[in-house]
Amino acid sequence: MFEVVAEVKKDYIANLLENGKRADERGFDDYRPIVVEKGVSNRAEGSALVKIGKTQVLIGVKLAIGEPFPDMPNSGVLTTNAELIPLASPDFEKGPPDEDTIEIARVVDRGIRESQCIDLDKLCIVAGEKVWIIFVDIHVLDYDGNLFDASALGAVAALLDTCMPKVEEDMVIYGEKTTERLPILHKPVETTFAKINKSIVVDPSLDEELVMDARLTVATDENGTICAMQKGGSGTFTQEEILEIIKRGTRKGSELRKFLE
Amino acid sequence: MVLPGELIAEGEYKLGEGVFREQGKIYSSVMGLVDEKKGYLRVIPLTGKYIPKVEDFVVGKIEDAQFSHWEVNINSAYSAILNASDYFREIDIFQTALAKILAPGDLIFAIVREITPTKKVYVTMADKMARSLKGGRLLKISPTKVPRVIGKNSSMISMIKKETKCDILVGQNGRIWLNGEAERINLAVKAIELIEREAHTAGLTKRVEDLLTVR
Repeated sequence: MFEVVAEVKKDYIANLLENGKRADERGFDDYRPIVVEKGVSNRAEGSALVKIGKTQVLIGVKLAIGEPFPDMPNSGVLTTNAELIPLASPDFEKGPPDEDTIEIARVVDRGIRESQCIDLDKLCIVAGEKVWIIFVDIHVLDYDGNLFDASALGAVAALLDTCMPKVEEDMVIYGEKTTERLPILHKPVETTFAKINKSIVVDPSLDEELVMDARLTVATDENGTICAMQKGGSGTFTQEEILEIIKRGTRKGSELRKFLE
Repeated sequence: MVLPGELIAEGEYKLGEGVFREQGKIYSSVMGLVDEKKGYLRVIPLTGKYIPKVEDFVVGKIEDAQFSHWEVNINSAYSAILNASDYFREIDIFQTALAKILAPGDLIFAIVREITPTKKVYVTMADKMARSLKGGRLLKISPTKVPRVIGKNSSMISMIKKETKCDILVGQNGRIWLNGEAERINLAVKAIELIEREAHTAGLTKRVEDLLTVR
């Protein structure tokens, strides 16, 4: 994800922000239009398609039976993967995941894991031997900025959509779903803020992401508990700015959560 | 309206862009509209990336400054090269680093000078229209819509320039640079976006004129 940005574009975006405006005429605290579609794939146990503006992310959840980690014999396993395919942006290359891809997967994973969104202990079948393994696969279909929020929102939506598959003699029969749902306890959502010069805006578009100094992603659950944070970019935040972002992030988070219903 | 590989005609035609001849038959190589005038056959593409042509004006973005040349992004599949000797004044490359004259991220208005058979593109600034672009705003449209923005004998772009009093440079590669008062730039951008959106419809000039004059 690297592109030389025209100085003209940089100055234009920065000047607008100084006057309290954004290039696409949104407010500093406005998201682009959000669409969440659940159950878009028959093959996956759970799936969701999320659109934030022109950004599009498809998330699939697959379930398998496998061995637990030795230090957590009574817990199911959560694995999150992301894929930035060349179809989504001219700057994405095929091949092994690069650091941006890994960052997205890890930030989404952390939001779900640390909020204790899924009751992993209920996914134990035989302690120390057999547990459910959850694969959350993030496919970026179209990149127009703010992949974090779209992926995190889609991941939780897909988990909520997931039905357990039928099991016979410890073999999973794919394609035959039961009505049983995953044990979901919390609904974490992530909100990303970009800092450009001195302005802080939510949901950065692609142009804003290209010129931003730094970004901060805050994951909160429905009680307003902060469960994960991730800072990126070479710029810095002051303590006051971080506190302000948390406040704004919690408020925007509760708005985003409505799309999960 | 034809698709790539579709048979258009047979017989004696002079071939323009977007068509090719195979065993005496003429096929389209792009999706677009067939245009036939005086035995001259071409397909006007509806979409697509910019394909450089010699003597095209382009708005380029400096991507890198080397010892004796700059690498220029011209919004195409091919990147272009601007040699130090093609800059509009003489540069002693042993005395000054090229990055001090044009740094990565700077915009230039240049002309395509040469395209080699291996599709290496050379641009030049040795022309009185060419310049480096400071300030203002950058707009990107589909390169196939550029002829509509310029209009017949550049009628459309002259009108926009006159009504908005903006300095506008249109590159054949789909990049447009505007400079002037912020409000007037916004108006010009709205006009250009209207042209891009409704490029294929009739009575476009009238609608653009209405947009520009009714305030």
